[in-house]
Amino acid sequence: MAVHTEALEYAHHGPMTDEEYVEQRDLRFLGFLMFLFTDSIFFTAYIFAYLYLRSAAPVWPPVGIERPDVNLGAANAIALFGSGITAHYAMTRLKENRLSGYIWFTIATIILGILFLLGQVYEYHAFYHEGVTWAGSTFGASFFTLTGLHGFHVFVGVWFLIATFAQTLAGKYSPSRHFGLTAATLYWHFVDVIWVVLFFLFYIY
Amino acid sequence: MQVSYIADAVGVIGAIVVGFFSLRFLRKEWNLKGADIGVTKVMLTLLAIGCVEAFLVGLRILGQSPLSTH
Repeated sequence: MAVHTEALEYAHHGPMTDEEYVEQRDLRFLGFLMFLFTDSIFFTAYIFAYLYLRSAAPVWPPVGIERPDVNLGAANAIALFGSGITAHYAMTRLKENRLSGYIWFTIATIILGILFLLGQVYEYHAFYHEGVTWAGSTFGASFFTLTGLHGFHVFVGVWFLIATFAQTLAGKYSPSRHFGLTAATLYWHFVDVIWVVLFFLFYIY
Repeated sequence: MQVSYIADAVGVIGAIVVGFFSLRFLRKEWNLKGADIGVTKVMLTLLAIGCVEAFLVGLRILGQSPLSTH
């Protein structure tokens, strides 16, 4: 009820004052941080399931299955890590009120994200031709579940970036008010960081 | 030239470039305050660690291990 009253008050006052915006932004940030935290717990649960399956197997990967191509994996990882840097640059440019810089760096981020997804598709295709499937082995099940889950996050992240990009072009964000962009950038960094862990577990360890 | 060597080169050069910029951003933001800046610092640090992983893979120091047995 209190929230409803507050919403009405905001509607009555029209545009938010700076104090109101900061209060709203801090609350939204806390909520977004909690979302990232729960999402990381979600990944952690699957990672521990993978580690359990791995430790229970006499040989890993199971006999007849080759490890993923670590060299291609590294190149693909660099595309995603590089997109984290361009996303950060884009955010910095918007804060400095340099819209053209924001536009180019965001486009670069989206392209790199799509390149990463295409690399994943290529890898899945190669695995499929080697006979590694989701239902065929514990390795396949854990690999496709975790990397698929991550790939889905990247896919959502690309759309998140496209949506905030469109909102920025429509004038929704300014150098002083840009929480949506902050959230999109943090989400993209989160997706990067999850891949640091998955890359280590599936390709290196 | 084999595809794996091209992938290695992309991994090594990319890791140096991306790692450099992540550390540069980290240095720039080190003294700034704010919750979102704090989270970004953690993310950039982990990103730099990812670059070290990719760099070592590109140099073929990591990731060439045979099947692990228990």
